[in-house]
Amino acid sequence: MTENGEQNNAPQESEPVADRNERNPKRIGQLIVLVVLGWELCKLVARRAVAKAFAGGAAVSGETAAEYPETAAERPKTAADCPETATEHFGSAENTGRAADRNLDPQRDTTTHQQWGMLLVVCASAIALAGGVGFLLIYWTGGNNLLLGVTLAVSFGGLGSALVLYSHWLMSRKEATEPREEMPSGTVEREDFAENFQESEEDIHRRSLLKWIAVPTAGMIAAMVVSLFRSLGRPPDPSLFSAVWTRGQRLMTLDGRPVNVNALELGSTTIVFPEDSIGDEKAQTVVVRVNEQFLQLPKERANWAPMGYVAYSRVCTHAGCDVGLFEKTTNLLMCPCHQSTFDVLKAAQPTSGPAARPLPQLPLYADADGNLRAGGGFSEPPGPGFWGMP
Amino acid sequence: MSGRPGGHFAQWLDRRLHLAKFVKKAMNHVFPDHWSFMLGEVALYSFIILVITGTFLAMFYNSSSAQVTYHGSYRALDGVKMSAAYESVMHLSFDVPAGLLIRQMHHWAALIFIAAILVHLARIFFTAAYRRPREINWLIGVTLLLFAFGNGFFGYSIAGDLLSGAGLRVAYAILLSVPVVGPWLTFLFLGGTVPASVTLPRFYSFHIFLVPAVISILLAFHLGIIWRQFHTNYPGPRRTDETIVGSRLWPSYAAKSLGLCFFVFALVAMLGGLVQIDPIWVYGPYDPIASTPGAQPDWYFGWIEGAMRLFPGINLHLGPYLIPEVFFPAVLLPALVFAALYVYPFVEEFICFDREYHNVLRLPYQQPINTSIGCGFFVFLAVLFVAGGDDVIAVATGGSVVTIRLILRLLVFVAPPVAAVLIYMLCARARRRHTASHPPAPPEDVVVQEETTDSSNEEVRTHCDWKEKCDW
Amino acid sequence: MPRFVLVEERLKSRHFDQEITVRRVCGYLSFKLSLHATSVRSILRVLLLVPFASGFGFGHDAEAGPPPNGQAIFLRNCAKCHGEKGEGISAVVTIAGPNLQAEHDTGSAMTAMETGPSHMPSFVYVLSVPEMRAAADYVVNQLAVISLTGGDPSEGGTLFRVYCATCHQTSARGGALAFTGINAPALTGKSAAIIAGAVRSGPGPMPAFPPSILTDKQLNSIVDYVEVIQQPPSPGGSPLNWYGPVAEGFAAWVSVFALVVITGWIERGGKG
Repeated sequence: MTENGEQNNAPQESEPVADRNERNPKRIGQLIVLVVLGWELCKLVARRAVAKAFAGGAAVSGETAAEYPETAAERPKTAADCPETATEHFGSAENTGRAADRNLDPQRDTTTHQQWGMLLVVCASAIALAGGVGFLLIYWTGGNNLLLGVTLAVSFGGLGSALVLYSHWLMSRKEATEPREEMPSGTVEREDFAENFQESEEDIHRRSLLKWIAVPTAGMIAAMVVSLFRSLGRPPDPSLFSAVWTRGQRLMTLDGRPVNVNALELGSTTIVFPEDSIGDEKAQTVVVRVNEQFLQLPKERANWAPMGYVAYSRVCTHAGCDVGLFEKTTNLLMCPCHQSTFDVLKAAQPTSGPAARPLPQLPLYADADGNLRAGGGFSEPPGPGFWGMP
Repeated sequence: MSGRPGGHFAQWLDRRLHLAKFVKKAMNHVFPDHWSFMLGEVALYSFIILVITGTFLAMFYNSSSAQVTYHGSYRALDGVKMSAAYESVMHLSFDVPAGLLIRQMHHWAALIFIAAILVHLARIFFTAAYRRPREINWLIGVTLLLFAFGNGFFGYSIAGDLLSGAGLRVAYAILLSVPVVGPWLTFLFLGGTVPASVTLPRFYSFHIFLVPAVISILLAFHLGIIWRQFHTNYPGPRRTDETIVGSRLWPSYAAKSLGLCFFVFALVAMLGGLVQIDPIWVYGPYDPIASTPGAQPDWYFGWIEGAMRLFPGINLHLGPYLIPEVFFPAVLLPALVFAALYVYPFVEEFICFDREYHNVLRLPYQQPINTSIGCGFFVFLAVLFVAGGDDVIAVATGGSVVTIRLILRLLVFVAPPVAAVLIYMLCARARRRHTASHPPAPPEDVVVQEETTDSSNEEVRTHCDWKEKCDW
Repeated sequence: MPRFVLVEERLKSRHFDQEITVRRVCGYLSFKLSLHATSVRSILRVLLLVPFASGFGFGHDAEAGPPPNGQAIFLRNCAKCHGEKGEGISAVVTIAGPNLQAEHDTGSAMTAMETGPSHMPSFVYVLSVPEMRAAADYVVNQLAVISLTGGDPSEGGTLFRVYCATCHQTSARGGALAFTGINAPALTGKSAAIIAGAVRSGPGPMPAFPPSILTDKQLNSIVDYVEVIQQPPSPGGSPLNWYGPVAEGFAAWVSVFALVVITGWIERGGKG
């Protein structure tokens, strides 16, 4: 309803410039307050997070950055010796050649490394937060699709980077190795199961009865469900085969005017419908006026084209799009969907592209007033082909 | 929940659900560290976006095809008669705050969803991860792809704009072309000879209830099975068919995976905000007598569209009956492609007499035949895909669509075998070099084959214990 | 449009004729200079020519004579391409000259003669300003028989999608044709007069739409809608050049590759 209201006011829209100017400072004021508040909030949260994280990080490790180069070479060995993590491998650089193993694990415990990591994570989170705040601001102040998308992306992207940076910098990248479960169950398990199953089988008396009940019941339920599909619609009816037009119907343009023999110039075209179903999808017909001398219609259709007016179904025989594209210079009708072309001069036989069948032709004649009328239905049922199509 | 074992909430839960053991096991679940194992997750997270944004859209969408007159914010359509469905999408796009963003994110997420599934499938294929014991998951995955295709089409169709309508009419022609049952199918499911008033509500209920439910259930099975079987490992130290090597779910893998989730969200939001998709106000409402060039389906149907454009006009008359030209490229070809995908693992197993369990992947160069078949297959699809946009290419390059079609008709036969042979030669060379630099330690009971003969796959098979080493 | 207004204003000012003359001289000079830019001697020679050139220019303009005959000028200079009645002439595959029967703006006709848009040559060196003005007046007053009075863009949109979009695309960015060797052109940057003229006359392979098919009112509505669709709103961001689903699929694949790169960063160094 609101959009209707706005629309009615549309002519006045040029006037309330003053009004807009009045409203603007308020909006800007709100924006500034929100931005400042958001910024303060960000600062507060970031400061607390940094303080907390740094305090924690310093407590975790006593090592300093200076010690790192020496430890780098030695750490892997001690890690491999460590008995409590028999399945955890610190994968030394010599063994695996992994970049991750080479530079991550020994560094991981140094304070500098962790501080860098924290800095990055905090920065990423701050970006995420800023993006989120921006999104809210933009949303509540009117919402521009561009800015909404960008702020949302910044927010999510910040969160994603924060998490990934966390895992890269502040989590151990120990490589765990675990045994997989054997896929086939063990013999004991299987025998146990078989035994159990056998026992429960014995609890069922008259087991064959179960089969006798189950099979027909399941079949019946399936039949019921399947037959419900019948409610979805009607069976294929003769409208599939219908030639749509009947003899004597006038050719009408889209806005309901009859088409006169003088309506078209050579090489021009229009869409026509039977007079009682204007706008109908299946009845749409394209009328082209061509030079009579060039027409090469089959003999039985010789009088279907008075004064060079030829009419064909406008529904493509290939996939049912509208064959609306007419090239005056080549006398080709073309379907814009799959580029099938039909030769207007040769009874709309397909000349290239994927269509196999010609467009059905509509016989025409001119009545005493000079209006064009259909001399019968289409030469074939219009539209794409199907099983049982004549 | 498990961060602090003493947490009140954790204890509260544990008292009711007996979780400690299960959660401990889950936390220690091992996932391999390799980027290519995350491709499926990209698809998973796009699906989550689809569900979230789709729920938002469903609050505004009206599937009725009743004719209404538009009086919304977009002035160039003011007073135009259109379906209520189209009007509701216009309202959503122009008058609902953030509506356009959510709609565009939904559409982009759909495109990315299927692209990610395809990339994931390619990774599985080119590393032979579909082998025993993972055939079930391969089957489920291919089925998921099929349903994703279907839902993409339903979603594309229900907007009620001119492109949707064109798509619907082509779909009608395709369905109608099925031998024997085609007319029945169209009358029962589409409600008549042309897309009728019942079509949109039906497609809508398929789009938001049936197919998403099936996808969710299959997805649960897909993930459950991978949880049960663990991922595969790339070949490397300590990676055997009996072990799984990688990082544990908690905390490392969870952080990385959740990070990726947010990146997918971010990218989709970025696209939704900065790149316009499906501007239905430019296409206009569906009008049965209007059509437009450049009416392509979304990219994932591009190969079927391309096949329909390239396939020559060949009807098949069987006595009084007709198999129309559309049937071959639009029904038979996709059916064959999906059938090939479904049976591939079993065919390979059958040809190689391979009954072993495989938990270590083969690298593409270690299986030249497999890789070259896959490359040929994807090149074939790629040529069809390009053909699906031939008119747009013609307009963009100023060329003629007839010439482009001719070139593509040739390419579709020439390019796949050429690509396959080329890839085979490259892989075989890489494998030769690899074996030259890393002579394999011969197993005790196998005769070492000569170095010179392993360029041809057949010879390898005859010379070694090919039950074990079928390099298919 | 602002360009036409500018020309109109300049037409009214007395200095316009002088301006044309000065331009003619400068054009000649720059032509000379670009030919012999390297040689100082030739530059000097060109400089020597200045008084002659300017004298010739002024002298020509100052010549007083009978008022130029617009019809004669049109038939001599324009009718070869635009037809004797401005109906436009179309070659087999392409357009020799567009239909001028909807040109109601002397200013834009003058601009066209001055600048020579598209294939049309500039007439600055051929016709004097009064001659150009006479020809433009002739076009506007005698030949422009298609009325452009404005219409209803919504109705025009519906008609556009039925009659025009089938070749030119709903976004008016052009579409592929079959055998003529050219494609249906984009309608962006085409003036209302050109579009209305094209609809009525059918240039090249395009069929003509006489008033018995599209009434004047419908034509005006279509022209109005084309003006909307030349710059359609794209509130959703970059319209990807209006290429539609093909470009969208391309963008989707680019983003999937971006995501693959991101997974590579997330699992950096991981050997699986």
